[in-house]
Amino acid sequence: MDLLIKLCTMVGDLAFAVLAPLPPSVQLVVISGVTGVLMLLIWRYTSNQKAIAHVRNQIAANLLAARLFKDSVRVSLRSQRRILWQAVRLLGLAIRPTLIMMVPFVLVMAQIGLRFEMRPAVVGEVIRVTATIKKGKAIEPFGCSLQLPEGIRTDANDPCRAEAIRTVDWRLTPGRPGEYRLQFGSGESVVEMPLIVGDTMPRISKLRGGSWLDRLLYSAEPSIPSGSVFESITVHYPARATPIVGFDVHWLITLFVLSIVFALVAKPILKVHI
Amino acid sequence: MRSTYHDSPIAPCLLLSLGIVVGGCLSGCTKRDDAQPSRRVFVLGCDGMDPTLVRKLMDAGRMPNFARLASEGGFWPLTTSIPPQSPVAWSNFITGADPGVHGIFDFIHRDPAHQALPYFSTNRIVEGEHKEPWKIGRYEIPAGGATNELLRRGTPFWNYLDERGIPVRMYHLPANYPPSKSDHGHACCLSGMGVPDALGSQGIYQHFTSAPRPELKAADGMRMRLTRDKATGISIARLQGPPNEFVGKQPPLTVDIEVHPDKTNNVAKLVYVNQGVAANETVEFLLNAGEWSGWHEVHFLKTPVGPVFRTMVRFYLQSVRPEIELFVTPLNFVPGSSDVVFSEPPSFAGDIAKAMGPYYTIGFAEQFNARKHEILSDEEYKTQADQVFNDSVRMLDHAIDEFRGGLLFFYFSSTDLQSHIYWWEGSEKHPVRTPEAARKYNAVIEDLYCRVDAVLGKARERLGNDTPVLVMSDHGFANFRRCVGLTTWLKREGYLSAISDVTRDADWANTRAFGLGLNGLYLNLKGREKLGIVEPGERDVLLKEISGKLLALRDPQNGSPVVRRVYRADEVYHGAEVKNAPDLIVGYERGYRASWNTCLGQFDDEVVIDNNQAWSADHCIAHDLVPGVLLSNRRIGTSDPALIDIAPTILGLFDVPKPATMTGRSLFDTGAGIAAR
Repeated sequence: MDLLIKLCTMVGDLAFAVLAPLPPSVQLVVISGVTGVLMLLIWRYTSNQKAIAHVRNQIAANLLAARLFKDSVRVSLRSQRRILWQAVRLLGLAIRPTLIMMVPFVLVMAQIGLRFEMRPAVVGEVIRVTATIKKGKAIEPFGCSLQLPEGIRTDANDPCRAEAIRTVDWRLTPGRPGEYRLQFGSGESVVEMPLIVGDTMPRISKLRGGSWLDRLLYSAEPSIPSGSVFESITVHYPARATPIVGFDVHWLITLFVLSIVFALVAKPILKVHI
Repeated sequence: MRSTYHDSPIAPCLLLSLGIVVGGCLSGCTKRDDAQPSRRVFVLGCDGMDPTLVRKLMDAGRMPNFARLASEGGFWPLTTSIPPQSPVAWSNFITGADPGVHGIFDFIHRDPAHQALPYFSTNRIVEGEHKEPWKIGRYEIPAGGATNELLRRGTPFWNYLDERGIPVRMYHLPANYPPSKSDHGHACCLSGMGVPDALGSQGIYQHFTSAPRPELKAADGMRMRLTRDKATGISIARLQGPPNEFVGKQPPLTVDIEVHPDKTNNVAKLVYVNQGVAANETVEFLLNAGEWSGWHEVHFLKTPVGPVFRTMVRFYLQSVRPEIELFVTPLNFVPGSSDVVFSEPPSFAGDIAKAMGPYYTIGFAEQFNARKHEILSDEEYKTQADQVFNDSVRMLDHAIDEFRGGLLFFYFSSTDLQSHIYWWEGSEKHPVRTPEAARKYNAVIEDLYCRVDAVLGKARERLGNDTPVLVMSDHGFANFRRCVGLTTWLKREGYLSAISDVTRDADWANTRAFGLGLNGLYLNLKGREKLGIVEPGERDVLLKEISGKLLALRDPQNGSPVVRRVYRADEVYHGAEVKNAPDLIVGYERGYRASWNTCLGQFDDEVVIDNNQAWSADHCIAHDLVPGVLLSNRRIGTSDPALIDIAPTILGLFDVPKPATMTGRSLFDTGAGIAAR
């Protein structure tokens, strides 16, 4: 998993380095375009294009038949039955390419999410971090140990230890911009987690550790060593807004809609049957 | 069939993408149309602002912006409504007429068809035709509907501006819930006082404690115990939501708030789950002891397939140890998401929230009930009330940002709802405070007035000094030291027969008069009240007799008169609604007010008793004792302006003639005007 995440992050970093000069909303449009075309190509080479073309022709033929022979109930009903059956066949033909396509799409989505889902903390803003302790491990003393880098202060009443749900929380207030390394625990079992402060658009991992899916979607950080008391570390960054033409739309919706639009545009050019 | 280039979606898709790219590049660079229509009028409504205190602070140089306004135009006491209650007074303002026209006589009215059944005077829920619900398992889909009806009659003044295409923007306007419709689409209004919480009340706070204390669920606040989960030991505050109309007996919806206090630090983590149809959302945050949270949405899922009722609250962790004490504000609506409409157009409330973030939507945002019940201390109440004030200041900033022309009305509730708790003039003994504390907290009101002054200064700076400005209040303030049990007095005088509650156990065959609301006294008139016994022919004699006795009533503590004026509705009101008014309106002397029990038709031990609550100032007394204020940068041509004059005055500033529905007059009619007092 670490290797996969590292590889994806490298590709993501490279792609976003190229796009960096563009405004965020334009970056999202370009990525959606590339994603749409990429998914279309994956579809083309993983689906049975001949069979799909055949089924679509069948559907078209039956639609024509239904229109031409609308006075004949028998022909009309038979055409409709065939259209229904061909639609089911079309769905069946879509299963394999869809499943294959999902894998790169999720990876692309995760990389976009690391840049568009959250924004960095700003100077003076309170950011909560949560350390979740492994079942059976004691919170004290390592679980509630946090070494703060210079420039970050914590609330005088922290940490808040919630033993029943095995979490320890701190509220951090950064004093100046930068990328900080927070050190949880002590001695050899220290777990580091970055805290990013500023108004740039960096890659942000809100999580270290946790389930494999959470790691895949929300983290570019390595896994937590198995001997650590920590199950996961979460930095609760604020959500990022990426308005598109003045409308505040979640980046995921923009990605879905625009990638479909671009795929539809590219379909006749690439001669793909979907 | 082969798709051709001609009928492919390339062209529209490219255009769409191009639009998005260009829009993306330009977003944030677009400029508003800053063209200003030629005429702008700004009205600042400060509920309960008192002319005596304003004069004192202006003379002391502490309200320079008010003083400047007064020097440019003038400063006058503003004759208030009879009785000087906010819903009545603001309805006078809205219609330019007295309660005989708009039909709002008190906070509480009675339904004569149901013999003294009390109801909230400004709006009511009208149930639709009863239909059997559709049943699916344990769930029921309600088939009938209900509508929310504004009970204020008469024509609001902005209708006359609306029909002439003059834009009107009103923020937190009292006595206009549900908001009246703008027929021509030029009037926007965010309703203020009268907007309920999500439980349908005027503000039910919820307070949770781990201390052993009896639970109480009342119409003005709930005090409950934190429960402890046996398996995990987690303390749980069960937040009560609205009734679930999708389940048979409509049990209340609830959301469990987990409270995880740290074992040594004065901090706790609060965790709860907002249930949704597709996915749940876990909400968690930390609060120090003595800290208020920001706004948090609390969602109530009515059935597994929806709908979700979205509300928002602020949490206040009073203490972590020795006991956990958690205060939760009433459930406010989420602006823009609720089925409950409290703005005109309905999207107006959401647009404001988009621009400035969430804000208190409930009409009575200040948590005075929690202070009355001693759940919040003076300092805690001040913190919360200041949050409301600061919300309003932010909203006014936004309102001025959006103001292009026409009328801008903005309302501040703080000057009223902080005064009810902190106002105390003179050296009399305060109901709950030492003389030093009474002085200290009275200074809170002075500071608040000074902050309003600063708000006015900033607003005028932004609007331009030539913009006509009216600063007005609906009434003033007075100490509230002694409570008058009107129902108790009526019972002792033999006019009323009931055991404990006029609305529940009155002997109507032996009752000739009863009290309800803060100032209302009704005869049990035959042919009007369902069980009336007083013949119409006896009415005048009886009213004269009761009035005389009330004016002769003395406080046994010091022999002072208790009642200053008794008004006959048919003499002081004019219009079609007079028939629904109380027969007499009791105007108490300064220092006195109707007792809390009297308002609801209940009895006290004595006729005049001490007020022993933190709610230590009021204005529901004789109207001449508590005038409001009027300041303007235009000179006014009369020496005795009244609330009902404000509406025709605003119309006059837009050259709209006074309509026949208004009994007030335009204050700027006579040109040069008189010298300011």
